[in-house]
Amino acid sequence: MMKMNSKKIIISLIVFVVAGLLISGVIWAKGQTNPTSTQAQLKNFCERLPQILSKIDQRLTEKQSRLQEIRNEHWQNIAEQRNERNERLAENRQRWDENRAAHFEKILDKAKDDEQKQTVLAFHQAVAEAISQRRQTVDQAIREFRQDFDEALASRQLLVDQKINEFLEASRSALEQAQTDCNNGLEPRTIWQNLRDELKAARQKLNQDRQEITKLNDLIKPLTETKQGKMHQAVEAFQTTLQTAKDELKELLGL
Amino acid sequence: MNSKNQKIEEIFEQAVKLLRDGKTPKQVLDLWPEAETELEDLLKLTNILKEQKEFFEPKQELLKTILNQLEKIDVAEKELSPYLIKNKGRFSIINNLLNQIHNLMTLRWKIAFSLIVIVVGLGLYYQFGLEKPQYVIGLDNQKILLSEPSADVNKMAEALNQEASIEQSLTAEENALLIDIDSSMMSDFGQSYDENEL
Repeated sequence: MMKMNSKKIIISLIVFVVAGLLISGVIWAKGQTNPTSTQAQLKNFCERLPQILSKIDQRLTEKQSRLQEIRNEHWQNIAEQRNERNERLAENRQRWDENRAAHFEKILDKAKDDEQKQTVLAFHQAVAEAISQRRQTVDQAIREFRQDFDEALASRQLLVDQKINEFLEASRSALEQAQTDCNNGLEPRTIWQNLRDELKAARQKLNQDRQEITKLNDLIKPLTETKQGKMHQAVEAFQTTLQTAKDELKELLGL
Repeated sequence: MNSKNQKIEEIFEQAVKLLRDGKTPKQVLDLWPEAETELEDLLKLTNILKEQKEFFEPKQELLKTILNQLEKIDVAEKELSPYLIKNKGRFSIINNLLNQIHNLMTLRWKIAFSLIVIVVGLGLYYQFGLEKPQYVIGLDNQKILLSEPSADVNKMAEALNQEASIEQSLTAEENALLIDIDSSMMSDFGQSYDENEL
């Protein structure tokens, strides 16, 4: 019995060691770079370069041509949104006017004599003028906001275009230099390394520029605050006028 | 007056019968000299209708077809269409046409047609007749009901203040959801290639 057990143990040990050696061998083999294949890649780099050049250039060109299209769509969206808001505001104002007229009609019906009617009409006039004034201020604030916003956005877009152009120039320049170096018979490994470094630098610069450009929200925020400030003032002025007119009316009508 | 008309009717009926039996119009008129004028007019009219008989009366085959298509009705029904009742001496093309249309319409169709008329009527009333509640469009396209017009000055003032607030909030919405296209494009350009894949 003991003999059988020790036999089993020995066999297990042998299997374990062999397996371990095999696995280690595989791992070792995988971990090793194949100097032959890497060298071949670098050696053929100049032969592969035109293909690399063409591929990258095609991508850059496609994105460049799409750039203006995207910009146009963006401005169109802004214009559509603005038109929608204009229409909604106009429709709302019309409904408010109708509602207000209905209110006044009822108040006027309650007037007992001509004097009271005149008082109500005067109140109506005062309110109408106050509303008109408020709306004018609001409309002007919106106009100014939109104008300032368009200018700021256009200016930002110019800067973005400039940074993108710098990136494109740097990328294409690096690719052309690599081609020239290949034509001049420089060491492929050196050409490859230089190209890699320059392309990486171009991308990093673009990314940095993107970080540094003013965020859109930061651009809009001061403009929005200015607009809202003007609107707030207009509404406050209106409410004050309304309160005064209302108190006068109530006093004269004995309400 | 009524009794005179009644007498004329009775005389007319008898006169028509005699004409059918082969008497001449003159012979018939001689029998009732007191009603000669009225009777002569009626008989002339009858003569005209008789001459235009084919125009007014449908052919037998058509009558049979129409009758077969009609649902059977209870002849003891009190409610008979006035067009089915023989009008006394008066007959028109329009009446005849209406009569034929009426005969073709079964009860089911009458009910369906009535329902359609009621539904359409209600729809038109709802659309144009009823006073719909007034509203304005607020933020996120929400409908905000306007106050019911009243003679209360305070309520009117509240409505005006609400108007000012809504207007202000709507204009604050401008460009709130603007996407930073420029930043996205710069990022996109940066992914045109990967130098590690050279």
